[in-house]
Amino acid sequence: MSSHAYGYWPAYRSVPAHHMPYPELVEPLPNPDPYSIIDTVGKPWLPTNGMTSIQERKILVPLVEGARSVALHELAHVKFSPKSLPKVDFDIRYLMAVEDARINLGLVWIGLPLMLTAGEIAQVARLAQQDLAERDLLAYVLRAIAAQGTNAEEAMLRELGSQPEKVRDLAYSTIRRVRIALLRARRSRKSPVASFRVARRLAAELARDLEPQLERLGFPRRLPFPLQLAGAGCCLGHGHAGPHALARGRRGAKGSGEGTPEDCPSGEMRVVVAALPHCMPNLRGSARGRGRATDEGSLPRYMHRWPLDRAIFRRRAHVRGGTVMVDTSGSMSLDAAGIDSILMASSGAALVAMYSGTEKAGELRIVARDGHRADPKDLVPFGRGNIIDEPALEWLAHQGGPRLWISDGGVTGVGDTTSAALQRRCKEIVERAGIRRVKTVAEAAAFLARGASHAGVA
Amino acid sequence: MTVPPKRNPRDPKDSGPTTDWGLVEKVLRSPNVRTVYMWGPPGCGKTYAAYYVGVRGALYAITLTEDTPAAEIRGHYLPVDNGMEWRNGPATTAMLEGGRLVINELTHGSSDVLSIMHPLLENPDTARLTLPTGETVRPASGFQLICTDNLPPEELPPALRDRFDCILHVREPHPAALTKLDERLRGPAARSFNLEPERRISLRGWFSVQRLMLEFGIKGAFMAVFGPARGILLHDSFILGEAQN
Repeated sequence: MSSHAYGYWPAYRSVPAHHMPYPELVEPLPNPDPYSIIDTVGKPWLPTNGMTSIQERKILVPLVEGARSVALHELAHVKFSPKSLPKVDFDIRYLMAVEDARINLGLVWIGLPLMLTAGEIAQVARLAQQDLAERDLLAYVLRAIAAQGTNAEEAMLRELGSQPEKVRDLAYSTIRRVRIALLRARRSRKSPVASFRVARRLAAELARDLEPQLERLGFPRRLPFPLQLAGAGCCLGHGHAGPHALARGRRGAKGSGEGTPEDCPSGEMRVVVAALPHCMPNLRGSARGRGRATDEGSLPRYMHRWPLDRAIFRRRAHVRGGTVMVDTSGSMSLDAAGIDSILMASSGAALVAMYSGTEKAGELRIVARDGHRADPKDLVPFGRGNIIDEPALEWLAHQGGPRLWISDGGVTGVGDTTSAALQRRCKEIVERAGIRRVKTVAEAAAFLARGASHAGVA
Repeated sequence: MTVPPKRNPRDPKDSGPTTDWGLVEKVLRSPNVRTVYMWGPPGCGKTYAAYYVGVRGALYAITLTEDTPAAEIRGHYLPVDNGMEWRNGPATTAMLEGGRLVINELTHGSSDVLSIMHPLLENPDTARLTLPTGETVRPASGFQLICTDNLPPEELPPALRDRFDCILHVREPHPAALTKLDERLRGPAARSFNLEPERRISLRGWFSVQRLMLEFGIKGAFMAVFGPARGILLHDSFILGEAQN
């Protein structure tokens, strides 16, 4: 989902880290392992923009302004949902929808109701409209159940107005039945949420009762889209996943393998410069270097040196310079937040670029230059493949040193496939140009921070 | 009211604090420890410990910046009336008096400052500093040099790193500091110290929330201390964390 759904783009630089939720504060028991917070902005291949894996300790949320409701909903999963959904003998999306309703109603009771933005509500209404237009009443009902406890309920139910009375009755009664059952169970439990057992029983009853009724009204009994692409849980802002989702496991032979003996050509590279509206912060003064005491100048800085060597003025050191190029292909698992942290760490570098590609072409995007950097909205990777490693490395070789390449080392060409010849050519460029490669954001940040702190006087 | 949840035996145990504050205090109080490099994330009480734990005599403290010259630490001449007068810096004074010198943000120091640290960090037999006055200063008994920083000792030049008697890594605030926090904030605060730097919240932040929560309410305090975006997410997590499961 585009981040535009969350409202307008702010005129100031937004920091993805500011929008990271704190599931560690929410989970019932303390755990020393922090959650991984993954940005979902610019990842159309994901089935939804908010997901949680309590077992793997991962939360996927949009790290942009206006996505509080998504983060809050996922936090509620951490608080109230079981570690994993049980195996059931009916479509699990019934359970996911009822579970969403259970925790949303719990949030209302706690005093943290899910308030979707106008953009998100409009998106939910569009999806509801689409479900009904495609005669997919089951998807509509599940979506409406999942929207219980949010301010999108009304917009969803409004879409039913144009439907025949029998359809309306079935949808209303099903949604109402879930709501009343969950509220009653909560009240009798004297807890913010009904127990999960109730949700499971409700889902099973729904699956049993709803399907024959749908058939009687001439609607399909089952959801038309496959399970892995479904967005029944945490789906309020989303439609059915597009073809991108299928492409996830379609990765070519890339990485440490030798690749095919046949040469594979590199994709066509386009160099673009992102808008660079924001000033780079000086990382401990590295962007301007440290000063050196000198006996010539206009503004005395070191008066105490007068009796020693009269070097009371400071001469500015030159910028450290250097170029950082970031591989933002899918294998690097870098999102805008990760690239943002690299940008923060590479404040001392004169030029920062990122690249990735898809199918036959790729884009090398300059995201920081001459003390100015791009907004996080321009840090969303172009594609999920490498495709243009070789031309990108050639480009890096022609930039000012020192040259840092943040990559897992896997290189590919057209079709995201690799070959021994391509790997050899890339290795030659790296060696010839003295390019230093690091694998992870943490390594890069440490290397860049160390470089900056030791930048010294030019 | 927050009801503590029943503990599932399969759930991971709380690892508890990983900083042995008992050892840290013991080291700072030891008469045999002269030089200490104490590092860790901000807001853990490194500077507090250096200023208050095991101080036997006078305490001198300086915080380094990239522009701090070595002369500010060692001492320098000052024009007085018609002549010049030598003024000892904190390092020289601490050496002469056998006091404790605390240098904060050591890795921020210029190469000028880092060079002058070498004689200060030497063992008592070889530690000496010859001043521009011609006087040679040797550390009096009881002289201690404690350096604090957020960065690991690997950020220091190897020769300097090698000269510290002890290197202490402080990861979490002192347990006694946590007890000063409001009971409601204590649990979430303890869980927030081990997060990655981007999301980590120092004890200072939690104390600020505590100071402001009576005046602004809990939501207002979070938003005022951490900014609107992070503040609201923290507030949501805090309220949700308090809710009965």
